[in-house]
Amino acid sequence: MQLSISASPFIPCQWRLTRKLLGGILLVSAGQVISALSTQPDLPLTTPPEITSRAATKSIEWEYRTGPWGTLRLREINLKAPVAALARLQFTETRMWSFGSMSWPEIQTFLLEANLSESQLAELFLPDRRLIGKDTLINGIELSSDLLLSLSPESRLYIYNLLAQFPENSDHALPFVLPDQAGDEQLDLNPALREALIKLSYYRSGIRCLTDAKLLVPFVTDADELIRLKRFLVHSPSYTIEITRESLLQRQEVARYWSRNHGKSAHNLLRILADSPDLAGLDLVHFLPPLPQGILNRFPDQDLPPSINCFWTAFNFFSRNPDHQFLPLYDVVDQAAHRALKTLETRFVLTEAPYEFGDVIAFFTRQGDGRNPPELLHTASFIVDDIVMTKNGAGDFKPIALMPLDHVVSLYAWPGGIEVRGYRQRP
Amino acid sequence: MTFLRGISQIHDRTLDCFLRWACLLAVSSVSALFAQSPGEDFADTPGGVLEYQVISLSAPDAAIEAYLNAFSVRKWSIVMKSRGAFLGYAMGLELRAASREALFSSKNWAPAPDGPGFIVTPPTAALGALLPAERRELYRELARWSGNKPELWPLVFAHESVWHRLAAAGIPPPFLQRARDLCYPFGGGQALSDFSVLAEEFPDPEMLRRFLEIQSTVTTVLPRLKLRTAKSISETLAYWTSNHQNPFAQPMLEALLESETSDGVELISIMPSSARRLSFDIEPGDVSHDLQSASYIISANFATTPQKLGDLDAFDDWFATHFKPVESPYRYGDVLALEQPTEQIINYACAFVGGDLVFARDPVGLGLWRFMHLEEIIGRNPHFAAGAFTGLRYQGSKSAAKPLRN
Repeated sequence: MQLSISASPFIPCQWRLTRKLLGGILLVSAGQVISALSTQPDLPLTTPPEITSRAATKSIEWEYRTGPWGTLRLREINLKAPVAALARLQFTETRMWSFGSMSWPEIQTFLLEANLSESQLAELFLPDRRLIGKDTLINGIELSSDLLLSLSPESRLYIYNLLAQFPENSDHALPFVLPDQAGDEQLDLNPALREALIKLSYYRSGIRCLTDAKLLVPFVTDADELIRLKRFLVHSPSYTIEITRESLLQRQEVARYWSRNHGKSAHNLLRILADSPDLAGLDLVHFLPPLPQGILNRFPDQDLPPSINCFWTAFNFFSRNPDHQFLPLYDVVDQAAHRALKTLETRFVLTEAPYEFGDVIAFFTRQGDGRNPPELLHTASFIVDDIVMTKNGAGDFKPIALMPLDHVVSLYAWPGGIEVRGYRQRP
Repeated sequence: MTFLRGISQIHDRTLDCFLRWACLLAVSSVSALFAQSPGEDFADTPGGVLEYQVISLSAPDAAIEAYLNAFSVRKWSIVMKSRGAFLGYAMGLELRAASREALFSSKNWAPAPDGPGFIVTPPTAALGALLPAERRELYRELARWSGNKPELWPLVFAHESVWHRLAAAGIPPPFLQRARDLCYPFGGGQALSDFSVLAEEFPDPEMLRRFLEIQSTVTTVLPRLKLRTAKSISETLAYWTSNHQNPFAQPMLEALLESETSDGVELISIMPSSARRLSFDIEPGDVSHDLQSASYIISANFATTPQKLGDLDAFDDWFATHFKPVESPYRYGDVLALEQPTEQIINYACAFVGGDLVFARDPVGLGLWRFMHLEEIIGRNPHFAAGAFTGLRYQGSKSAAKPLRN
């Protein structure tokens, strides 16, 4: 998930995302940065079109699941980020590929095996595109938009998987994850933009990815379309969940499951269900601890710290007074992930599935070459069955949502894959 | 603090209020008291239909435990200049001399540790020996000071059925008889402020908890929002976001407008954080207090982002600047503030939701936050008698009435 915001003082959630921003700055001169950013047209932001008519509501059915948590009924919803938040979302520059300390011969050898066309190779090997040792210790190549657009999905995947190893290319490590291409026809985007989207997207381990979102901007016709594009890229499905009265059939077990909530008594909530024969169910919100109770299915706003991230959300799940050490700081290298990892090591114990309500689910990188230790990318809170409460990336365009664990894993399209571990707070 | 300023104002007007209170109670409508009937089972709002689901609600365990801890020993707050001043005033109350002497002996008095006035610890035996008329007389006066929550917001017994329910739940007859003896007339029903006497005479915590649980049970409503009945998306969004001034719920509303089950959604899912947390609950720490400011603060959160203000004075100033009186029909997020034609005694507000429904702190007993019908609030506590609600709407900087505190 490679998102950045132009409006300071924002620092993204994962330190790797910050490294992405910093990497871009390290790689190019200040002038180049300004030039690159200025390629995004300053489109006037208009308010969304006034909606006065009543659109047809899509009627959906509940999905039911039963377990030690009771009988749930769920429905999926699609949370749309506020326009103001989307306006602050800026795509990062990806026209500079960093190859870390790889030598130029090594880079050439790699690119020659990337199934690129003669013309593509010719442009990549142009001397004035090389950023070998220029002002920095990092070697790279500056590319044209046309070249990036022309890459085949296979070449793109091959190259981006290598680029993902270098912290400066964090968009290549954690790209936007998109719904399957079959749905593109339904998008309210102009044909040229849709075509560019298809050209730039690629599949990594079966997951549709987009790294070069910024290259789409020139195809956008107006501010409203830009908002629609951003909404598509940061789409946020979630659930509303209710605990149904069928849960009373296993009342003691259900009360025990939710008893860790440190908020409203599960026993009392079940008593409401038992004593109210007309009541079909109670919203999950009632059963959550105070902090998630207040933030579930919401986007960060003035009521919440603007920079809340996955670590703050997961580690404060049971807290009445949130610990802000998990927020990103304005350091050169964001230490939030390190603080989260340290907290996991000192205050939590590793636990196997089945997980319990409020367990921290940690997402680590799976390092294929075994040289680098796994990095903590993301954390979420286990809620029920396979559903976690998750804040997928920092920024006020990402909500605190309920999602299936597998879906969250798929959003972190790390080239080597993701390893999921469960942690339970020490007594 | 306005809170303290209010206390001194109350002292000055106490005698005058006493006479007015007697009149107010006499003319209050008996039939309206303790009304718990949900009435209509839906409300048509500009943002769709609110379906009222009838539920039975009891105080949560933590709140009961907090009540047990706070009021097993009774202490009264008396905010007057001296014991002598109070005794002089108490001469006007219809208390037997023996009661007066036993309750207000100098050995029971101590200066209030954190404010003006005194703390009185009445002997349990003297409390238990009061006649119902004496209780009514004395507790009506004690209710003027917000430190006396059991007198201001007592445990109420609206109907005889409450006693039947307690008996059916296995509360022993001697306990129930004693509880009846300790009750005093309160509007059209009875009230109990002397839980401490029961706690001392029947030192069985489990039974006391059970008594509080059953006594606190009310029939109330849980509203579900059915957006598919909304006529206009823009009107719906405007209504539930207080005209876009508190738009945190907008993404959720938009999502629900796109896809909804026939059951709609529980209203809590679009409510502000504080109301979500408090719904059908109360913070255990708040059980022992009569934090009247909280009702303004929580209610204001429906219309605008919570204010990070340092103290009550700052909140009062902010509230007065940003909320403006508004006539009915009200809309979601309007603050309805109780105004009494005589003196401002109870500073109480609730948040308008739709139809005749508000989100409010139940003004009796343990004081749970829940959805209530507006008329139910007025009738629930005779201290509200002859009062009426004034609508205040969040909009800009024009001045509104500053909430007074006692």
